[in-house]
Amino acid sequence: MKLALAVFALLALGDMGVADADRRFPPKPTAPVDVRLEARPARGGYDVTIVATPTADVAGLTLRVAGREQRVGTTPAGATRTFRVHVPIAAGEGADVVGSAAVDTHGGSRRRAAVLRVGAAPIAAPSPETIRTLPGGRRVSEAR
Amino acid sequence: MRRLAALACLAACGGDPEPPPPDASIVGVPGTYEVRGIVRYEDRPATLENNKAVVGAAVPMPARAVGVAVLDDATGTMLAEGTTGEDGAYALSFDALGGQDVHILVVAQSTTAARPLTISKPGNLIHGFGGQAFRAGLDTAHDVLVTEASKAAQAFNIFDVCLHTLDRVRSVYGVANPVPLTVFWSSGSNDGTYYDGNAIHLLGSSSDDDGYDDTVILHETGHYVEDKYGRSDSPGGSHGGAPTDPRLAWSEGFSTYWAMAIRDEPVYIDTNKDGGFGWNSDRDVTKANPAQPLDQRISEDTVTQVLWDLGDAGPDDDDPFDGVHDDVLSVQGEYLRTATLRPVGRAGVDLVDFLDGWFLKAGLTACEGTRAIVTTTRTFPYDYAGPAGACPAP
Repeated sequence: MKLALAVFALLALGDMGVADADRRFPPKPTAPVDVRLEARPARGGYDVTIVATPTADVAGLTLRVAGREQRVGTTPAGATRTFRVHVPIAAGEGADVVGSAAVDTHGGSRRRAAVLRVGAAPIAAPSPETIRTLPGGRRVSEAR
Repeated sequence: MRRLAALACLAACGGDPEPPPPDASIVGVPGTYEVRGIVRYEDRPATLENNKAVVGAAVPMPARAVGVAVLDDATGTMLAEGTTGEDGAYALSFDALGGQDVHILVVAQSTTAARPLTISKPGNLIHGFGGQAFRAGLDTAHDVLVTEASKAAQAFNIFDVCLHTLDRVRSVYGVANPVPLTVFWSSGSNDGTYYDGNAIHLLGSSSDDDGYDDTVILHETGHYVEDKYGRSDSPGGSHGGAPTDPRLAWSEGFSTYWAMAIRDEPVYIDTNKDGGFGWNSDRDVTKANPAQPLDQRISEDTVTQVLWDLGDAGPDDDDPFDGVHDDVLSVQGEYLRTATLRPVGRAGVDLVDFLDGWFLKAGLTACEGTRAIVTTTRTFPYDYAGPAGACPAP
């Protein structure tokens, strides 16, 4: 049971976007919202929740998980909004679930995304890579 | 008869006749052999479709100015080294045994003084790509395509995009040998996209990969430019287009403008796994608050829009001022880098200080057009009383 929880916790961490806080150097221009995905096993799959927190007052907020969308509307900075979707996953299977939060801005919207793996881990073929050392000591990662 | 057939193909196919068959008698014979070809990489240009930022289908593009080497396929020993031309072409001579298996290694690095550029993985491993093995002396034409499947194509796209910045640094700021630029990107990297004062870091994560986001890459090179050839007093922090500290807005707005000026296109596109975003600095209008003082919080988008309108010209120009982007960009090096700033606005470089330098560059004949862009359209309350002198009242 402990092992199962540990595996689930690892999967739930996933690729949850990038935390901007406390970075000395400004990150690239972005949507003014922090997003992450959380998942818990549910009958026949997983319940996946997007957790979105605007970093500025926003006139509109739209949450999307696995292609399903919910309009939230005006949201103040620091207020967290969530949207949960059931994602069917067959036993022994897995999937990358995509979620995002779109913030209304002047003339359009800005969207920030997160990806979370639920279920079985993907079978990734190791990419062939060889380290070459060139004259002068330059080390090159040779992909093929 | 074979010659006739070859001539027929030349006429019908419109190309060179088939190369002569390889000389099998050189197998095992030590000699100096040649190989030539073209190196390309798979680019996936980002576009905006219905307000959704997406990367397009793979398009082979010439890998300009990259390192290229011939390696012994069995031992990895380097036999020759050179660089590709502007068309991705290379030609190398190397000593080997005839028929010996060798291959081409393409390296995302330029060590020339004019274009000092390296694209690395964490750990200072330079990105490279190895082509298929071929036989020395028997196969003398060998093209290489750096594929996306190898997870190296993005590195070569980043390299090509950054070349544009180094070339523009030389032409705008009169720098013969730009400060070396290193970019870190790797597939799966979740380190963020930012400039750290020494190098650029780009996301390669599954939710957000900036390897093909040319304007995002160029935005970060804009920070390199202001750091090395201009001035930034940005306090840092997150930013998303909302009004913010005017020094942060200036730094970010200039860097986005740098990206647009390099591409001569007023569009910023940042793709991600679920649509990303993009915007147009020529079409969009983000207003400042005319009732607030010069040191008001301001959107970086306002800064970018002002700079674009001052630099653009031609039939698509929707403002009354015909400018030159290089004139706008040059204010960084000619004024901001060394100027004693006026004690107005926020202490430190912001849009007010740029406008002061702009009038020194463009002269007071630019007053009317600049006023239309800055005051009328964007409602920023600039005082038109900088070191170039006061603009006449409208």
